[in-house]
Amino acid sequence: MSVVKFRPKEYIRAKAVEEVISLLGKHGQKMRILAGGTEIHELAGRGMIPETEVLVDIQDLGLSGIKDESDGLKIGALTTIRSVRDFDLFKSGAYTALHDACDFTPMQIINLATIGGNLSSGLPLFCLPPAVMALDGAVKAVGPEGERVIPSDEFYVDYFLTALQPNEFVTEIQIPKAEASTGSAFKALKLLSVDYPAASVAVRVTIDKKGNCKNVRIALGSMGRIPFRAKKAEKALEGKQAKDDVVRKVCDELFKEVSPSSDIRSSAEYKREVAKVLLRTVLTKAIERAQGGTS
Amino acid sequence: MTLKIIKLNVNGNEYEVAVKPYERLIDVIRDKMGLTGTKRGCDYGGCGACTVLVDGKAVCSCMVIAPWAEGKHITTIEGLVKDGKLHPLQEAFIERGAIQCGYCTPGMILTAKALLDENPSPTEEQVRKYISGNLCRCTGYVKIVEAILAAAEKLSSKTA
Repeated sequence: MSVVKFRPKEYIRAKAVEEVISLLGKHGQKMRILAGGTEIHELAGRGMIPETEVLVDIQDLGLSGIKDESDGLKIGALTTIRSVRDFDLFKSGAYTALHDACDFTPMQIINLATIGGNLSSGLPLFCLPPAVMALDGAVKAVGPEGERVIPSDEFYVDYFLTALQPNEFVTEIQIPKAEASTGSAFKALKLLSVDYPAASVAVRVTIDKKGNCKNVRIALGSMGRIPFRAKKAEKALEGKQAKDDVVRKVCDELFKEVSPSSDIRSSAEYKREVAKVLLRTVLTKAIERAQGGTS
Repeated sequence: MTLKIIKLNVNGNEYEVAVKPYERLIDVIRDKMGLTGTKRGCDYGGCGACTVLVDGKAVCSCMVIAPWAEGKHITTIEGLVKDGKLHPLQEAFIERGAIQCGYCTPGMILTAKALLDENPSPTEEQVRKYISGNLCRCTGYVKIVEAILAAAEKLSSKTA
């Protein structure tokens, strides 16, 4: 991995958000923000960031920690994946998709990697983006014009490309409060426990008083150039009871809706088939959780 | 190129070192401090050979830019020996034959230490999950898992 040169000339430990914005304005593409730092060497090793001259470490900006506020959950961008995984509220019920998406190994990675870094990388193989999408999460970014909140569903533009402007960076992830009787789940298919998934699916569903499904969200990772919501499949379940024939129809819709490409992990045909199976599994789990059956 | 003087606390000792802006913690530990117990493997977080503890948590030292670690407490395999006595995990690895070539051992033991510090009585499944980022190409993991469980037992009977 040491073939391609990665030789930044400067390391700066930023003291304030404004300082980072001004450094981004000054250095542009020649600067990389260092969050957990777990991806930078892989990108460097593949020769993807040879232009990097300045590394800006943002660990001292007070951007880590999770707040449970009346208008939703606020997760600081520098909160490690491990801390999100271990946050009690995410371990059962409505937000479990987030816990499940963070519950991967190696420990050595989740102890360093951050939720903000993971979401803003734009790599479609990551587990957190579909989970955040399924929970209707949003990304708070800051730039020279101030703060703005971008729905996670609109955050991904193309492979490694997000809606962030070159002089913006992510400071917070926002997850709205879930309605009562809501459940969520996430599952990834991995060929090795420490590899990226070949496919991943996150689901959220609320069961109303009549037993019908509403607020349905289905989001996928590793299935295309960006993580995305499967809106036709969502629609096939919205307002209906989750009986076997309906679930089958939802899975068939998903099969029609996705067109992954083959990669080193699996073929496109296999991914489509597996996404259906994963969806059935997570849907069943999310519904059980919405009904309070299991954690 | 600006060399940066940083202070790192490794195994309770303060080191003052001049580092390049991109220098990794593993290189500083091995080449500047001479603590060669930390092994270089894949160089991108895939094998766990370079695992050290940062503020008690297992991390890959190949993924850490050295200046990032300023102000934190780093433990390497050398730091587990107290008054010339091996740590119970190190003893258990020897007693159970959990070492063959030995290259993965320092990282494996430090990951196991982080586990036992958090969860003194893990199940076999918990051990296997926790060490899944540490690859061993010799042993097949059976004796490693046995050694960690034996050390857990020994440590908890000590504190009981």
